[in-house]
Amino acid sequence: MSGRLPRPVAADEELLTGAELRRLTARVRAHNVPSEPGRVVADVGQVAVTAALVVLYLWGFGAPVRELLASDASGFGLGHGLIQGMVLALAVAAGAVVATRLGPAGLPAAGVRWWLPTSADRAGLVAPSVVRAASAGAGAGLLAGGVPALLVGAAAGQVVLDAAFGAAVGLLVVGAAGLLQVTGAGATADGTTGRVVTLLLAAVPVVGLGVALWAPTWAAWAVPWPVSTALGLAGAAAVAGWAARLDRLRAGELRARASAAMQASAALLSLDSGGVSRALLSTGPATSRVLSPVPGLARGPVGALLAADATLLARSSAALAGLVAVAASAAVAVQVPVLGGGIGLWVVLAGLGYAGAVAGAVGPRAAGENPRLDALVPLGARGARTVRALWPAVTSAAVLLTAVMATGGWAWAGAVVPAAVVLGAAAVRAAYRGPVPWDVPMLATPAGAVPTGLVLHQATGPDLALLGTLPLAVAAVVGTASPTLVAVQAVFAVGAVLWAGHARRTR
Amino acid sequence: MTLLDLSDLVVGYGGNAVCPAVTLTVEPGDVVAVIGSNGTGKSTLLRTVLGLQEPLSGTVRAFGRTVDERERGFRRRVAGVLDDDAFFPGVTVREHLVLTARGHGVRDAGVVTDRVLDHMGIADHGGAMPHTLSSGQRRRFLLASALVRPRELLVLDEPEQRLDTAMRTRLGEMLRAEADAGTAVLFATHDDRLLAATGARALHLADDGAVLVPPAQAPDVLAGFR
Repeated sequence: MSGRLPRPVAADEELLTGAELRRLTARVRAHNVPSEPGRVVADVGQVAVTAALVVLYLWGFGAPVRELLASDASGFGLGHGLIQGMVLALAVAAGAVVATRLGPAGLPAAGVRWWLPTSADRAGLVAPSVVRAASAGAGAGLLAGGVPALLVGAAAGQVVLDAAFGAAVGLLVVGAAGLLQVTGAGATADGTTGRVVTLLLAAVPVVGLGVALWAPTWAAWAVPWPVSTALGLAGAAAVAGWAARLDRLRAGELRARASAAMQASAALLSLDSGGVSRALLSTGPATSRVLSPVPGLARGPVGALLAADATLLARSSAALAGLVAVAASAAVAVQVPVLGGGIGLWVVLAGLGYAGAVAGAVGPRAAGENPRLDALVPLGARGARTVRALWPAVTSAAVLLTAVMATGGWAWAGAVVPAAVVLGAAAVRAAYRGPVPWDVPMLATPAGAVPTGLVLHQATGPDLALLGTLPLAVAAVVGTASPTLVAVQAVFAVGAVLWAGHARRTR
Repeated sequence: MTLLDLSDLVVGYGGNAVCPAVTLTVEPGDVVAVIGSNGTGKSTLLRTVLGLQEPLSGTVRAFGRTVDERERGFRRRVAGVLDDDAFFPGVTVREHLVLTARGHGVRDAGVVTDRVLDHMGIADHGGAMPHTLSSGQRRRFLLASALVRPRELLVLDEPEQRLDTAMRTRLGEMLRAEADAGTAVLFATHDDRLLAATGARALHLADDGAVLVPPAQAPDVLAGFR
């Protein structure tokens, strides 16, 4: 520790461009961590084998789907055009969510910290992410357009047309998200764009429901070349406009996206689906908070918990939009003959009813992530969890009743309310399941090692939904809910609430 | 020439102000410490001065222009160290600093970096990966990133955090030397000795308003928080 601090002097001829700084960093890193040729070959081989396995798996999985779709082209079954449209629309909306939350232009957190404050041009630093995002958008659109057409048995020419349409739409979505990003209206700048794309995602099943009712046998379609070409040109123009304005990107915007990307990556690596949802659907800070009168009206610890959870739910646009989407999906699903009665109907009710309960479990999830919240009220773990099951049960009941109304099968509707209580309890059980117990030994099977801890973790919640709605399954199979079945379902509901309230251990 | 001019500046998040309106001018060679209790908006104010966050109202002007960190001219003249650390994997401490210097077009970036590393007492760790440093060494490293590059305004958020007593003393001398060389220094701190060593006037963020405190009284005001 000696000497005077130097006064660095900059010279224009020494200044690096963004691209040069990025490449210099890569060279330094490559020098320190040289890649071994054998390792590269092994990595490439692993990717190739994995890709081949995925293709074969999808092909094998696609065969029965193709047969099912081919056999279900008449009656009140969903038309192939609707299936194609729904898949593409969902892919576009999901792509918009990912593009606006994680990019489309972005930098790693270290790049934000060390590159952005320098004098290097911003465009050169983020350029590779632009190429990646545009390629990913077009590629994902290609698959979302082409694969459903392939599955519904469309002719080769039609598949190509649909794939081209999907690619053009994908490029346009990425380009539009990029333009929003450089104008400072990205999802992380304020909550508006994030909320809009989340609502877009939720609107797809709702629109699908409308189409299913209006034109249920909509035939497979193919978009003409001129339309795809025009969309593709518009997408290319949007990407070009975006790329030309990369120096307008704000450091705060890139910092927020790097943070969201890191959160999403970590959640993906640990197979934490809730974490991925939070990273992608969190809509950022609201511009204002309207004080809810509900907490002020709450009396006692039970009232406080209910008021707090209601406020959280009411403020979560993603949860509310998701709830509407799930309800609409249930109404669409029961239009498919195989899902409109019997075991198929139970699958829809249990699955989407559980999804509705999970959408309503905003408060329980917050409490599951932060155990101190429950410690604030003098109720005990079991009491707090039992109270917190109310709103998930209500949202689940909303979904189940929507499905019941769509089928017109009121005969077994009596079992729906106690079943909703079961599903609400299941959502609470899932909310409190904690992190994945990776310390549980793997299970060796002929097909390879099974991560037991992960399986157990993912099954916590759905297990209760499955077992707790068995009386509902019987009601769906026999087509009516006798008083005895309703009573049994009510007993199951009490048992489910007790089970969900059981606090096993603290991890 | 006024280097930094804050006029009725209100900062915060989601439309909610976290501190009172601030009016302040900083000339070359000035040292201004931002002081206040936890949660009074010191860091948010510094982030806004660095252009990382939009003001809720009021203006921030640096070098006669409204602050816009996207402008290369602004980034060339303003160095900031906040409490954020992220590092390139596989890149050493010294290499991070050389990259920073090269990114600003510094002549003899390697030589400058070695001298700064020596000055910050982490010359022996230049070849280490950042994640292997202790928290105090990492703080020295992050401070070094502001010193290997040219600067006319130095913005630091609680630079004394995690530093040992000797290094805090040295930090005070360094900031004083920066000011003597014509650099304006704006920093948030909770350390009254650092405040005294730099001879800084203080911008006190309190619930009832932002008050400028002369250098002679600033350490006493800060000590009064404890």
